[in-house]
Amino acid sequence: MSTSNSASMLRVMPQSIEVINGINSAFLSNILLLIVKRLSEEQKVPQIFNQDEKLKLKELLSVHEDSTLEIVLSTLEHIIRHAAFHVMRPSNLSKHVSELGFHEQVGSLISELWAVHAKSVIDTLKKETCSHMKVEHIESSIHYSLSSHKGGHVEVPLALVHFNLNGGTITNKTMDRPHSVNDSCKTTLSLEFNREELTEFYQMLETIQSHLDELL
Amino acid sequence: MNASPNLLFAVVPKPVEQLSKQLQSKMVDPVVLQTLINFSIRYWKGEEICHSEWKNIVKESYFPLTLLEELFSGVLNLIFAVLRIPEKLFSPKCVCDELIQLGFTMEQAKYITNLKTTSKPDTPSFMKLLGANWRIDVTISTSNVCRVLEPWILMEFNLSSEGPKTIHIPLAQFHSLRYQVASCLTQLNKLSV
Repeated sequence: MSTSNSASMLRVMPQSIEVINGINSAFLSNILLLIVKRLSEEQKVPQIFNQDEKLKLKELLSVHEDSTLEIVLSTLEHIIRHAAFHVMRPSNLSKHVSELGFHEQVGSLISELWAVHAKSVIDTLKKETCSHMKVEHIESSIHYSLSSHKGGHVEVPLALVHFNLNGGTITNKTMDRPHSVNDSCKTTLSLEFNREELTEFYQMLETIQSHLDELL
Repeated sequence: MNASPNLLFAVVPKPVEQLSKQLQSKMVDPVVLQTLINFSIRYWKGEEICHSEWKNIVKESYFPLTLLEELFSGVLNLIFAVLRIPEKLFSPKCVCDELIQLGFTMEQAKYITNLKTTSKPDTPSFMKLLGANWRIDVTISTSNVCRVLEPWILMEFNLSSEGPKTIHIPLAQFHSLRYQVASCLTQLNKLSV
């Protein structure tokens, strides 16, 4: 896997290695920090840097062409994602980066940053799934149903369980605003239970938990 | 009829008084009465009683239309009164006795009393869970991380107003769901007590 990844990285490397090696350490450190922070965020966006940020970076790094900047940024992101995919140790990452042709200073900068932020990046990337209708958050409430237009006085306590789901498709309404890869229509599924129904549901959850306990 | 039944009415409405008089005079055919009771239930549920059905009952009963309409009004008032009794105050035996006092037979009184438990009003409510199927999966690897090894639960809910809905529940959310359901159950049990 590493060999094939090295091979795929080498295809874009020559241009980006030279440019990255020439970047000021402080600038490089800030760019890498921004990359790891954005990768650690739960809310994903399709691009790490937006257009305004790219224009500023182009000036700061004295890069004349947009394509060169894109290659540099995508290479740095790719290094971090590659390290996350293989759950690399910082020392191995530093060695790997140096073998690709980067300066030792660049390697040590990347590995130091990775040593601090690896866990948060890997934990966030582990949670990313391509599942449809994923439960993001659960809320619950208790209500008293007192009366209705047909039933008269009833006084029935009810529980409501709300599943906040992240799933579905992007609609025309959401197309006009900036959206993330995971920002498909958020929906809420609300279920109502009386005491007996909730007891039955809880018993089912306990059965699932007992199977999970055996697994773990 | 000045003395009023305790559970059904504070003051017996006139249509119910009229109904009671007719029942006690044994003028009302049991089949016709049963049909009127069924019409009342359907009306309560919001169903339409078509004109032909009404014409048939008028023909079968041999009553004048006005009298039949009064009987139906009485039955309707009575059925609504039974169904409106609060759950905590509802006592099948007491309701049955009061209906017999009004002139119904034992079978008819029991049938009307049982309506309370068998008939559910068409009131607005959130979706109900009719049943659920589940599966535990373990993610071994994704395109982002080569070793994930995280279990998660796939649940298929059979819902009252929609078709089946399949959702993906990560482990952390599953624990949250268990905790919240247990918490709700504790509170519901306290409320019942």
